[in-house]
Amino acid sequence: MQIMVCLKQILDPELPPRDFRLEQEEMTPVTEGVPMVMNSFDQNALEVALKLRENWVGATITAVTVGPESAEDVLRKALAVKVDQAVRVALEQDSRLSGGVVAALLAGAVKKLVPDLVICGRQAGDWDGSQVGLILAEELGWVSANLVTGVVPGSGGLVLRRELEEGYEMIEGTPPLVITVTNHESNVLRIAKVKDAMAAMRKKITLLEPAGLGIDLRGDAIELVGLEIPAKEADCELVEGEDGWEKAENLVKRLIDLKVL
Amino acid sequence: MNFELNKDLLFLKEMIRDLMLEKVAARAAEIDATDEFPWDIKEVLAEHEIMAMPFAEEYGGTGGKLLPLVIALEEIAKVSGSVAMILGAQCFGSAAISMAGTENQKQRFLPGLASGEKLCAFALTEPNAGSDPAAIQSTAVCQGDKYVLNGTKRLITQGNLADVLTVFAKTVNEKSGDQKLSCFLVEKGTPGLNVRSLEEKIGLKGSPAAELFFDNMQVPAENLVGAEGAGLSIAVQVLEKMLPVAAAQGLGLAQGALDFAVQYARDRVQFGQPIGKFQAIQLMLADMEIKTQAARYLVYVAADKYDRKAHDRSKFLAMAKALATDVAVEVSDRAIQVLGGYGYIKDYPVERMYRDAKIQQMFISTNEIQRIVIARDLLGRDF
Repeated sequence: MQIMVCLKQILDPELPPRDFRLEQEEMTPVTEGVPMVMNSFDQNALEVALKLRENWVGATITAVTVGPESAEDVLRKALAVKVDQAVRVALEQDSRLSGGVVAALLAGAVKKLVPDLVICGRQAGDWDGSQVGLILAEELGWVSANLVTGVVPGSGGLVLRRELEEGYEMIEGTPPLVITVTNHESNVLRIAKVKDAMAAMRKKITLLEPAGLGIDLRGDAIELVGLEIPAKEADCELVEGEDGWEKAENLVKRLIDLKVL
Repeated sequence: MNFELNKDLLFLKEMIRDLMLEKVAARAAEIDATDEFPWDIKEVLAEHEIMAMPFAEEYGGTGGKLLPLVIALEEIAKVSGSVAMILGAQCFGSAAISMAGTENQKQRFLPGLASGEKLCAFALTEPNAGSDPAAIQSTAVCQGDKYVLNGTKRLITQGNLADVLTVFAKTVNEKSGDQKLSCFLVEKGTPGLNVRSLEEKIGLKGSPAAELFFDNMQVPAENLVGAEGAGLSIAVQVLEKMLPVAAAQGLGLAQGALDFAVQYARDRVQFGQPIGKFQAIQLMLADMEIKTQAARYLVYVAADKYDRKAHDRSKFLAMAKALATDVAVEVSDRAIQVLGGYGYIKDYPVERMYRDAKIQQMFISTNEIQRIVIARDLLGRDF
């Protein structure tokens, strides 16, 4: 079982709003001097891959990211929890690609790496597009399943646990397969051990060039036309009253005045 | 000249920070409140090979260099001084074996300590001997293939929990009659090894400090570390190597207190605005940052000099220890001031950091001793 797990480096979603700034001309968030992290759903995807490898003798994991050299930090983190190899599809710094182009690049990587199973996070916490995994399956012509929280070997291939609104379901899937993973208490990414963390920095990262994958980055069909931080306005009004009843009555009157009710 | 940590060390620092936030942060106040040794957290440190950091690779360790170790200690102490002491005690209690033990002693003791399965302690301090190890009164008398030890030790971190203790006692040279310190490895359960009581400390709760009583305690001669009479030299070497361990704990406590004070200054509103808008608070925070950063660089440089065996390392180790632990007390004190009345109550962590920081000025050896080392280096040993 060859597993490929797709990892994206994003601006830390925990970044305090005061530190989030935009490069107006470039229409891109400022990434210099702010922490960059592995997308949280991709962390869940990586943990799902690691658990599957533990249950499947001989399985290997290749971590793949699409991004500039600085994105190698997420691959180092994956190497520290002992993925077998790491691959970066090399982009220029500050490249901005739509989900469709990223999926095409990953499809090119799949053709080179020939995995049986591709695992993606369900969406990335920067643009929240939720497109890459499913478009990738379409590009490859593979079966896909989304909102998966865990994968174990089954008699006919793999058994996937999927989140539903009312609970969960178990389904069978036969590779080749693309799955997208959502968060669950069972797939919180483990933290590395000291020796593995220190060794991760010295491991090799393989580079793939977009041109070598037959992808033309200029062919992006989506154009970003505007980007701004919404102005946040807050107005506080205290509703007076002798007691709770009167306050409630005054609150209802005020809400009617404001046409909320 | 580059004063930045390399990528390996930055990555290690981030990994340990993540681990502490995920596994330790929520337990820190509870450990302080219960004053119970956190066995669950010791397991976390063992599982992630943090307990292996003081040891060479051939004995199951991760290399034993000081610079990665101080980075780990700093990150741990940011969250909990008591948890940092688990690793600190493991360094302290094992250093004599690593530095002066026989191959047999290393093979017997170090792998179990590196895996975190076993704990150790450094038993030097006595009721009448702290900074002055030559005043030690515990005795060890050679009787055939064993030594018989008698005496009392105080303030021995993890002395009640340790599977192996590095114990210092005076031996008498049969020919010259000279009394000299010798170093012994004493295993848990040795007849005559008694834990008399646990000290009641103001801080580092959950990191026990024991009073030990040796009553005709018989130690096999093969557990003598180094030559008979070499104990003082071993103790001095161990104490020197441990200075950055205390320094890093101080550094972490200072950074933890500073981080909390900054966040509080942003959030706490008085007179209609966050208190961080007031210059009185800004100046305090700025001074805290200046001192903490200065301490950080000195601690890293000292550890690096030790690892590189730089000729001037002794002075740097002393300076780093004195500065970082003094800064820990000063910065945690200022953090309490930033929090006002809330800083003085246990709902907030800065009073714990202050109590944990205070001992670091005395831990290993006092900051007054460090200043004597520094002054001697400046003026000359014979001045």
